[in-house]
Amino acid sequence: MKTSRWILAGAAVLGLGIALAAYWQARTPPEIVAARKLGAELSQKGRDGVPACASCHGAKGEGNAAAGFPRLAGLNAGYLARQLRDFGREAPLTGAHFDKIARDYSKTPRINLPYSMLTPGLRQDAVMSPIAKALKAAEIEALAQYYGALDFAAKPLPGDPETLERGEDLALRGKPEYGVPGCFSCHGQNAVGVGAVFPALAGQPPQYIIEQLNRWQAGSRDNDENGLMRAVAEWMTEGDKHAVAAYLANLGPQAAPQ
Amino acid sequence: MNGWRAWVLVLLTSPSAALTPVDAPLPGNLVEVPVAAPGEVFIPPAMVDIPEDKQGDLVKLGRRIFIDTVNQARRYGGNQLSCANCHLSEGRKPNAAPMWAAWGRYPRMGDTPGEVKTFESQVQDCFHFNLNGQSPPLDSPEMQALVAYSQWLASDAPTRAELPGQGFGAAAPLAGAPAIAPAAAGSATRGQGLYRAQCLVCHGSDGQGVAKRGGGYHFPPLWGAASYSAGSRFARPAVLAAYLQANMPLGRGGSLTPQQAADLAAYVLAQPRPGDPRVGLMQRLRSAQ
Repeated sequence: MKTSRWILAGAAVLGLGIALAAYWQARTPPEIVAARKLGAELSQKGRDGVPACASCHGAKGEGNAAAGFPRLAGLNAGYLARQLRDFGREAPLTGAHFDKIARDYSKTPRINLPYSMLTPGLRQDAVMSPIAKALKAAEIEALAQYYGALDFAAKPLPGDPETLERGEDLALRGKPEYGVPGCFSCHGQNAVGVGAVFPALAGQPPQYIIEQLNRWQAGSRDNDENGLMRAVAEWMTEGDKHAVAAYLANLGPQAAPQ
Repeated sequence: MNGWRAWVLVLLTSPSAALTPVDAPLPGNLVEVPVAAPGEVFIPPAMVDIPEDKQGDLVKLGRRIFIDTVNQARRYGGNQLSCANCHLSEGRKPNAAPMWAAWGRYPRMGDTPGEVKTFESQVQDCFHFNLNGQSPPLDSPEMQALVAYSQWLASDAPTRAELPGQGFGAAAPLAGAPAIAPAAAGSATRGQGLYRAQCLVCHGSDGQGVAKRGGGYHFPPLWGAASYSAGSRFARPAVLAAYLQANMPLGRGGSLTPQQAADLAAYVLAQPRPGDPRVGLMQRLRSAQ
């Protein structure tokens, strides 16, 4: 009787301790909470020189499929912060003008030392770059934390079955005869994103994905690791971009594995 | 490598090139990388062409086992690797040991005199040495499904022939592909630097890759207890170097020079990994003395 009581008491203390430890592990650090609050305020109201993010990216960061503004909700906070920093970076002064890469894919030179291996990377955009330049480092971090913590559910978009089938083929297998891996091999199963380097693609507006692939090809977006995305984009035709964008837009975060 | 440095030097020092901002950033360098030439390699059938019958169902099961060996062939697997972790693009990518090229090359002579290697025994070896598990018996559904999948990928492919893109591309290099130097001596020190620059993004600083939520790996571990064993063909420096040069970094195969690939292979193989399952504990202790 005595022994069992002691055992019960010990188990209770142990359980309480485990619960306390679990709570301490799971709680959000106060600085993150403060950052999210600041990010929420900035994203909804903006400030002088910085328009509200919600005016284009939606009230809950869900993006705008019609206009091609990307969703921000649920993306990795590290990824979002890095993109804002890259948007705000000035292109370095260079002494030469290079024509943009030709669109004839069969003759596209395989450029193999990407700019991003020498520099922190550039991502230029007529709308985003001035906004990102006006943001302070703390505000970038706050916005990234705020949008990274938001939930997101993809809305299915109507699509032609053949296009979606081709898109699934590209997303799962890529174009092996060209040495191009599928989207999922880096961006994760169902393109849910892997870490801060490989962002989630599921549920992004098709126009956004096509536009970004065009920019990788043209070189106006060049902030990937090791030139991985650029090497993939160089081999994508207009039809490939269309098909894969339509497929990815219809993937929710909880989409069933194939 | 020296080529682009010289170019940048010329561009930066040329007097006519005043510092003017341009809207398009510079292309990084002027090195052309040869890739697997489309049209030269066999193209396996598409997924939608799988027949709707029992054989087709077996093919579909084989594909699921191929890409998700961890869960679909759990009873024979020892670590969390899947076939598709190395046989890229679901066993379709040329120069990554594609299944459509492997199917027609068996049976053939094995490494030891008098040994005949069949396709099934090769699959068994893969489970034994690379997945660190048990060899599936010939009549197991897993084996039959994997054979059916490989056979379907090789539909209409010539058998008993050297196909372009088979293996790691060393035997029958594609037009324009870099000639693979015969086992250049790699330096693990140089390999470490290269690893940090090129591989660390995906495989991590500890080489353990990134695990999937439901088991298996997005990016496979390169060494350690979860990686392939020392009895694997991948534990031979020349084989690993050929694979690295043909396929890594993912999507930029052919961008490493033979020397760089040999350095990386030396670095990866200098790390600890499970021992050769054919070598017993006593034998290992004796040879360590």
